Amino acid sequence: MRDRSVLAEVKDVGRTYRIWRTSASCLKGHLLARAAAMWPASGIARHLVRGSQACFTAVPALKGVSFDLHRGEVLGVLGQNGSGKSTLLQILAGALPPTEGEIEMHGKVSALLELGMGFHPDFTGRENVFMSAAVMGMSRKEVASRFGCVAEFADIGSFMDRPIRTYSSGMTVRLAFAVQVLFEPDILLVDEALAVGDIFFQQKCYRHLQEQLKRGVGVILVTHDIDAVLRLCRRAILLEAGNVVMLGPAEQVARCYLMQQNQAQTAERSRGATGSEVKSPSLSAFDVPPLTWPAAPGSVVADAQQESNGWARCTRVLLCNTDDQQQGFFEQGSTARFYYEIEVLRDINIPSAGIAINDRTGMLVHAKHLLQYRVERPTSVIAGTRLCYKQDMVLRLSPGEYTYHVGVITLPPTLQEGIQIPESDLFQQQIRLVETHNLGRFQVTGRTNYSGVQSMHWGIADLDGEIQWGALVESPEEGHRQ
Amino acid sequence: MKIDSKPTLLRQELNPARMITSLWKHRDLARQLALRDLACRCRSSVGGILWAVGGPLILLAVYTLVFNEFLGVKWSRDVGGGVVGFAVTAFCGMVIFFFVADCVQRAPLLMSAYAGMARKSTIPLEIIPLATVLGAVPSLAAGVGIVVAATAVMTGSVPATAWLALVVLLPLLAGLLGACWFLAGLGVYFRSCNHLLVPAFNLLFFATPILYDASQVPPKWRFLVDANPLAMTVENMRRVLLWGMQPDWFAWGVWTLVGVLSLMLGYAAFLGMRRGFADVL
Repeated sequence: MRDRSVLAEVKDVGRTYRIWRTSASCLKGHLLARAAAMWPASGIARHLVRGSQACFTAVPALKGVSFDLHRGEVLGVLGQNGSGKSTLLQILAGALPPTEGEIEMHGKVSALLELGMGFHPDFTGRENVFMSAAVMGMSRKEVASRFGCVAEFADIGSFMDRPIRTYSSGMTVRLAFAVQVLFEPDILLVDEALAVGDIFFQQKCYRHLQEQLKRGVGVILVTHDIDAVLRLCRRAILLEAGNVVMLGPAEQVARCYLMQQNQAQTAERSRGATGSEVKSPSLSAFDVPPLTWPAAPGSVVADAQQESNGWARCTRVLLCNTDDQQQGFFEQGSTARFYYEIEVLRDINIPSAGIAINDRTGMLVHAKHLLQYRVERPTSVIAGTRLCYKQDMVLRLSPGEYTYHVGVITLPPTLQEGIQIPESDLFQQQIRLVETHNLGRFQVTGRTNYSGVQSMHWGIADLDGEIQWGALVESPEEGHRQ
Repeated sequence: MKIDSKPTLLRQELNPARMITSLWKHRDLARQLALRDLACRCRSSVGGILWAVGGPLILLAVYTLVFNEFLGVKWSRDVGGGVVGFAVTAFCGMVIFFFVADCVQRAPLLMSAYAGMARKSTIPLEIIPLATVLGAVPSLAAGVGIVVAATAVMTGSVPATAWLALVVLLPLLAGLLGACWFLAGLGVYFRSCNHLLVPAFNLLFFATPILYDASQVPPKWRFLVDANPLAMTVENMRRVLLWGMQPDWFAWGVWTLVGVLSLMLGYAAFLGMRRGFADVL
């Protein structure tokens, strides 16, 4: 009896592309293979097959991919460029036949592989919607009856009846995405198409997605956007060179993906560098004052709980209050104190460590590391040093449960010399030393000792500010104008 | 729905019933693609539709001048009206020729033009050449309409056999569709296909009795005309539209068989070649 909650079963799917020597040899190869298929298991057949195979080189784009998709879940697919993500989606959509394995889809499939498929600049928005829907399998009559939904979603007003070459790029993209609302699939395949349009439109798209999920639609989301994966997906897959290297909770997979990206960058940089990231070898002393670990032992962090690039690792963590006593419940607005120990395995300059806090949906609520508190001078920390970090955080968060983890990064020497480090530079050049999985959790509770309203704010962020109110008095200038 | 790596046997795909149901199922899409094709050509140039008709008419004027006035070519059966009569008779042939040439010359490039759809959607690609042929039919119809109108003006009436034009065109349509499928598939692997077609069609234009009568061809070159499917259609079209005669049923019958054969083989070739599109497109 098939499990009703499983929407799609992918078993051992693979796709090998054939790079033909010339276009003509492609035809020759196919003809030879066909001829061989007509008389299987004969001497001629073997000869023909060999001749056919000589015409091409096989490039495996995907191999041995297996997973299930359940109702109402979003399955993320992460991977570097060229890891086979788009190929997988094309196969699932039915646009590309696999060369190995099989897939069982229980329900209608709708694929958002390319925004604006069938769009032509000389035609009006209306005509293009009909064409795009027709290409995706919907008849003109059906589209006509539901056109209002599309117009409403796209929100481009009278431009609907003007050629799309007069549209701004944002409008084109909104229209292209709006065609999707016509479809009511059971399985939705999305290829990196969610991060389009302005913020209002993105919110609309996410709302639409949430509605679909509530209907029990299963979504497979291929993306580079880690935030989207963490926010929407419970499970994710990591593809590397066509193989599934990880299938598990979205957070773990996301972290693994970031480490992967980082390792690629580190490998590149160390190939060019002389081998040591230390700025000036003459600084032999570690000239930062010592920090005492409090009486409470904290919990040991195992190697399995972190992804490390080998230069450092996190060994211990302790969550306590400002009296250094271990604590797991904090009132809204009180201060939590994190102690964590980092063991340095290789000479580095500034190991900028920090705590990250995620809420129950997995969203990153707040993360701050050393360099974000203040500018630090480059220091040399030699291998074998054990560092202690103490980080206080005022928990101006909504009541609820939160998880925390530790991350450590460092910067290449060239970047450290600058006074300003733009975020783009930091993001591209940072070297991730350690990323732990969730190390623990804590609870933020409502205030017990307060005056006025119990909750300090609503929403994710409590922003500093002030409010004043009083009886309205017009300003003198306005009086003059009248 | 199950997707596996074993491709459907070509034998199964070639079942005529399956072919017809598949094409019928996607008739809406074919119609939309055809209309888009047509609209594209109209919209992309200023006064687009005028060029579609006006271009051939200008060509006709030049040809009439050269062949009738300068060279004194005459038809075996005269429609009357002198120069205009010549022009109408010649135009009858030109309309057929341009219809075929247009479709065939565009066929090899079709798959690259629709590469996005080919790679990322599940539409049956055989719809595209079908839509291209359908999209060219309105201009054919317009041309035939002009011929009929001109005849009505010159002779005061339309021949009773005029409706047989539809029957006469059947083998042409079948054969053309087959050829388009074949060339569309081939064009994916051999990009230079259409470079060869343009000169080939230039030659074909003069090998077909469009600007001259079939009877003027000396016996030793007769085989060129007999082996040319366009020649048969042009001749029969003139018979039913201009001369009020029955078409040559025997020739029509033979070419219908050839047309159906071409249709089936072209379809089969396309489906067979489609397997490898993913690697090349």
